[in-house]
Amino acid sequence: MSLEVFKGRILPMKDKLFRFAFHLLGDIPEAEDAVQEVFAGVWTKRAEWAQWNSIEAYCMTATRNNCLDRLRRRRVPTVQESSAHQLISPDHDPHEKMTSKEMIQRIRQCMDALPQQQQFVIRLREMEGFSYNEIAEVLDMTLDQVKVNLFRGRNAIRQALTKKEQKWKKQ
Amino acid sequence: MEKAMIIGLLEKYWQAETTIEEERTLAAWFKAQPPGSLDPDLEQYAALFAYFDGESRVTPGPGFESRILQAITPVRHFQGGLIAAAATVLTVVATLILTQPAKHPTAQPVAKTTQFTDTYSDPEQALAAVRHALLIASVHLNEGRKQITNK
Repeated sequence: MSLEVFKGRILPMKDKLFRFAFHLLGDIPEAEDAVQEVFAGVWTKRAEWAQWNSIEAYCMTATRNNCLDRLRRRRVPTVQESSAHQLISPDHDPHEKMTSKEMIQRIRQCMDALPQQQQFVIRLREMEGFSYNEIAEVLDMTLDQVKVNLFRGRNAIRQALTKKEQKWKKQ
Repeated sequence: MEKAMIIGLLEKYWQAETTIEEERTLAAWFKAQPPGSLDPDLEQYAALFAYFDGESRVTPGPGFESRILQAITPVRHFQGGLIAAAATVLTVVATLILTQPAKHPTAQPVAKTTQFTDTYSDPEQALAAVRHALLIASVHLNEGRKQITNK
């Protein structure tokens, strides 16, 4: 019975948890290990599942904590540039592709430079489509803190984009 | 008209006032624009939404799901079940042996208040019967272990 619940409700979260872990750790094998540990932990607590408000929120929080522990042990809290991402549509012409790639590279750098809480909020909102309430639960924040972090994070990226754009226009 | 709506949504977006639906509308609109067709002031934001879209499609490597399933101990789960089954078999066999009527009933009548009677008068015979029962249970347990090892 528990295994069926696990396969039906918990296992489908693996991609989402992996992405979250990957964005925090910047390393695919380590992100997979982290998520595997989280799932193993969730499985050992299967007697408590019925008491949890949201299994998804629990898993996300456990993933965050697991990754933060790993980062602390590693003492290199920066996210590496990922070579695994193919972000540009193949329809774009080479010049277009180059320009978009550069811009995306800058966006990534800007994201990495944001305070950790802003990064977490933006990733959960923009990449996983979480509501403010879900983000607040996962990150243990108030709704106001979620909104403030999202506002500041988005505007930091906007400023970085606008500055770059102006720089390019001058050149 | 459409562009004005998008610019309006973008303003809400920067203020962190958009709903998830509005954010999806923005992302879908930027994704649908042919390359090079956007005004320069919007082009930069297309890259932003492309970045988010790309990041949201990152997936783990192949075989990840089966590794997770292995990690959550289905084998141990099975072993636990096997041990429980073996224990049950042992209990049933032991109960059968202990409640079996004695082969050589004694001349003395059994007291009415007694619920359980001795099944064997000869301790050697009783020991042999228990050994035999344990041997049967052990054989079944070993068969189960072999099945696991062979998997």
